[in-house]
Amino acid sequence: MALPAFRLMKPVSLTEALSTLAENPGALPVAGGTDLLVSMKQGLFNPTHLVDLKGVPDLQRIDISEHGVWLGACLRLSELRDHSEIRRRYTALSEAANLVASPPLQNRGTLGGNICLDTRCWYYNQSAFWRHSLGYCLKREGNICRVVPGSKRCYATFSSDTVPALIALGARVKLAGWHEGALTEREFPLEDFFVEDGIRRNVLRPGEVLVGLRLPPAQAIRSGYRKYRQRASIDYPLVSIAVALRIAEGKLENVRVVVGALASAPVLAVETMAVLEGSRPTPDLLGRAAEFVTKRTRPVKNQASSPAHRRHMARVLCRRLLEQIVMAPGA
Amino acid sequence: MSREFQWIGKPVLRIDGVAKVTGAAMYTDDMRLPGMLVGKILRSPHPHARIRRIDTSRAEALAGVKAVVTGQDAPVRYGILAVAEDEYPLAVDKVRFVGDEVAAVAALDEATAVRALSLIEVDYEVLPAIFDPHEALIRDDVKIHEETRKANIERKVSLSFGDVEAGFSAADHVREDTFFKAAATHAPIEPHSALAQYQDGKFTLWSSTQVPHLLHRTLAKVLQMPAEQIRVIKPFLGGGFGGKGEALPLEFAACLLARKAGRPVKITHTRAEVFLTHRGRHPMHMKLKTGVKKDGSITALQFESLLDGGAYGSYGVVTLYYSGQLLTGPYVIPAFRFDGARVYTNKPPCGAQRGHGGVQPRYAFEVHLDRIATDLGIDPLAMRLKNAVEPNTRTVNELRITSCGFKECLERSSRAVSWTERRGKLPRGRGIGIAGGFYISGAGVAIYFNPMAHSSVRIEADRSGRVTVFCGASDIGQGSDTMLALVAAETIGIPPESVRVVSADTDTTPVDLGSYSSRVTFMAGNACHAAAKEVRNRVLSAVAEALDVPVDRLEICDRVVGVPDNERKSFTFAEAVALAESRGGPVCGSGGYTPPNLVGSYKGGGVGPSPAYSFGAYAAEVEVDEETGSVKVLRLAAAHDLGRALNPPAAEGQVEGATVNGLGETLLENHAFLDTGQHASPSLLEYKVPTALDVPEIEAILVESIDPEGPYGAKECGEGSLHPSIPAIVNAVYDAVGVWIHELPITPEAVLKALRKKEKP
Repeated sequence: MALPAFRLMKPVSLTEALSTLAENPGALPVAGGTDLLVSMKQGLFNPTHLVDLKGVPDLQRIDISEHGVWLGACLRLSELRDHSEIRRRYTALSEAANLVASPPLQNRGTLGGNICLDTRCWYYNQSAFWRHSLGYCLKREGNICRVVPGSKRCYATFSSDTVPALIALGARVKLAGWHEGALTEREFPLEDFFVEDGIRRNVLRPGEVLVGLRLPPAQAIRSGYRKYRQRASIDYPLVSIAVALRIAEGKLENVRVVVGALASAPVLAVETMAVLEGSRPTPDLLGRAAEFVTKRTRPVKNQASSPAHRRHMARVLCRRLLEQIVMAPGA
Repeated sequence: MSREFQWIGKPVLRIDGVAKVTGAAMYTDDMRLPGMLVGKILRSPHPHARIRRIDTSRAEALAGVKAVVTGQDAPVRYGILAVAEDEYPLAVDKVRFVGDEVAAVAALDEATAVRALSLIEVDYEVLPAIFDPHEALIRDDVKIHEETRKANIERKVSLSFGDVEAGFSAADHVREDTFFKAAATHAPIEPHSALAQYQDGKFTLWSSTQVPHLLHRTLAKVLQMPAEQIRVIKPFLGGGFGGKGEALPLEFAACLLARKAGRPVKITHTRAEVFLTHRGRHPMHMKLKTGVKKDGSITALQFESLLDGGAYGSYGVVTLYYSGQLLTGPYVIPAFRFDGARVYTNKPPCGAQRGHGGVQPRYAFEVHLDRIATDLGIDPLAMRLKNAVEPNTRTVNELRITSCGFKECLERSSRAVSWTERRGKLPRGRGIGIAGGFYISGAGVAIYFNPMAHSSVRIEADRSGRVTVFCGASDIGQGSDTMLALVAAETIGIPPESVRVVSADTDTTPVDLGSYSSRVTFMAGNACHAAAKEVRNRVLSAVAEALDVPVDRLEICDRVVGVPDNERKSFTFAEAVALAESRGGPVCGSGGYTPPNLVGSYKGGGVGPSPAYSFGAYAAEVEVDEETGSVKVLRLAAAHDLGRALNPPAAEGQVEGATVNGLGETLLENHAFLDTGQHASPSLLEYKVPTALDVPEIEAILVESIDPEGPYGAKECGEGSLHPSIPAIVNAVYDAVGVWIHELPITPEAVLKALRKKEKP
């Protein structure tokens, strides 16, 4: 199926990009296009214009210093994956970028695109014919949820790989908009960007663009990311876990554990974090903490593998990742 | 032939290799004709419905639309098998699965064609649908095809050979097991594509087909035109695996639209349409009962299969017969009973897929055999060696076994994983398994009854030194064009790269039945050998006359024809052909291959016989994570008896490809449907074909039994090599963690469930 017709805009500055989006309410921003273009072919989006952000220099920047890191939204996932300082200091992010889809898609897909990735569901990511034959669903063109009949909300799955890692590492997100001819900006913790609703997904307003992320100084942080999928490449996560923590005088500190793909938004595993914070890590403690990791998740049967198995895998991956991070030689 | 082979058995470059790797190769969808239109197919949104009325007027009125066709434009029933002509090019009265073809449009561009589809109004009366084959067996209130006599059973078969009752009575141990193998589909990277042109009352169809000749015949029937007015050409083709092995609706739709519009029309499937077209592996429910003596020798086997056929017949009756008929080897089965049924359900039709018919029962039997060996305390390898068939024997259902390297396959694959030292002795979580298999080198009986050759080849040489092989065989990526060049080159005595191959064009090439049932190397190879011998003889005879020496003193070696070691008594090959041409005509040779009559003496005895059988035995090594249930295949040692490896790297490629295919079907692939009839995974993202990272180390071991009737001793290679891969992995999982998996694909959840069940007392 060919792409539907649209006008491609190629702004060279952020203000030009934002004003173009503001002037064309039917426009959508695009970067790598690895998610959006596929969905457009399936008739899930029909933008009048695509505003290509790859020509905006500000969005390509990466700054690393002792004060932290700035990551422009249009950095390609392969750049993050291969950046030696990111790999050394923010291991979880590098590992996550390395596990997105496959290397060719990492060369094309961007960080911002991966953060804004649409939620996914069996009943949604299908051709126009397929959805028509079933009678559509809540997320697009229909009025009932095919997964949870009677539900008022959409349970499509949050599927980004980089987000759990970024939240675990304490990332803040920066958004830019255009209001009455002027640039507006806001910045807040990345976990507050997401909404537990498969349709709305996040707090991005129409015309607003994600411009980048700020990571706090690494300061001997240990981190990692694990992903469960059917094949060793290409597939979206069935579940994923990101962990970041520090070890000071034998005790765990600043513990952050984030679960991906078990809800419509990333989930902070606060119970697991509470068990670990300030404790001396023992195999028993790590195992016990991992048992709580799915407490706030709500997987539904909207992709391969059962919700029960995905939760089981979350606990296994969490324990294994904690063991690996804690056992690793000091950062 | 006493001399050493010049090229056979050595690596030969594919004659289409450079065109493919440089992108110069033209596949059907790469072709453009002046004035060409884009065709699109309207498909049923319902799994089962009666069509009350179709109104195409709004679509026809849309600017840019040049033709619209429906079932009424060609209400002719057809089917790949004469016993199952149950399809129409486009639905006439009913639709039978979500995706069934209803109408087609041709327009100036794709967007217009898609818009036109939405303007076609179809009034459906939705009918109850059946998705479960067990339900299809008994439900008489829902008839997917009116013609079925009982419920939705397309065909039932019962065959019995030897004294089955006596066999079970004589057994010391009898074991029964049930198995299920889910559907799989071919997933070729090239989607189906057909480009039709209608000019001066004649059709030309370029199509991605494995069977140009069978398509040609079916087009003549459906278009109600003489076959001589129709030309079918197969351009480069990017993978078939059985999915392009019969005439398909898009081919008819392209022709009907081209005739109506008076302009060429091309239809290329979207990826989702490739999945809906299907014709792949039947989901199969299987029951086995086997009797054995204490020493492991088999006394009797009873097998039942239930095939979920989907909406139409396709190759299904053959699949059904094969499911039983190919269980009588590669082990000696003195008595065998087989009861099977194929039913219709409201899903895309199943048909032939690599290893056709034998793959599911082979998985079931080889795991069943390991369980019997375990019951008896016999080593699974010893169990297989004990019962292995010998060369030059007949199976209980009268299959003629000639060359047979099965024992060597067992020995070499087991040695590759150090079977004796390691089986049952690896740390928990690690295991090795072994399994066997065998397969036909082409069916002994043609797909439609006729006394003519199954494959014909014509070869021409001219004074430039050019040699061209003309053959209807369809190279679908397996390399049959290169095989033809190699056989012609070796036989004549010139290098393979100097041979051109013109193939798969019904106007210019003699008939070959097509690329299915692993027949091409054996049959077209033999035909080519005969044709090449004739060319060689003509050239040698002219040279003998010119040099005044007896023909038997002459050799053709490296483009030189003459008396060996005598430069004065020799010609270049071009000069030699010129001498032959000077005798008053073109230098041609022709050859055909017709298999010997091997049909069994019973009803159904036409499915199973082949002029030669390949054999194989694979050993797999796996690692099972008992906490996650995931199975990782670490290595596969794949020993395949292919008679002779004409071109070893090509044969290794076939074995490796088949092994990867089997691995996918074992661990990942499931062509499943929602309970509303929609395909559950109609994309290469959701239908899980293994990626390069999922594929383990594969050691292809080529075993050469030198078949007495094969071209230079060769047999089939590309399909039989799939069979042992599945059970070898399943048996290795048992060695690793002690559980048997009776349903495929093996999901991690199924492994965990089996482990939990085992823990309970």
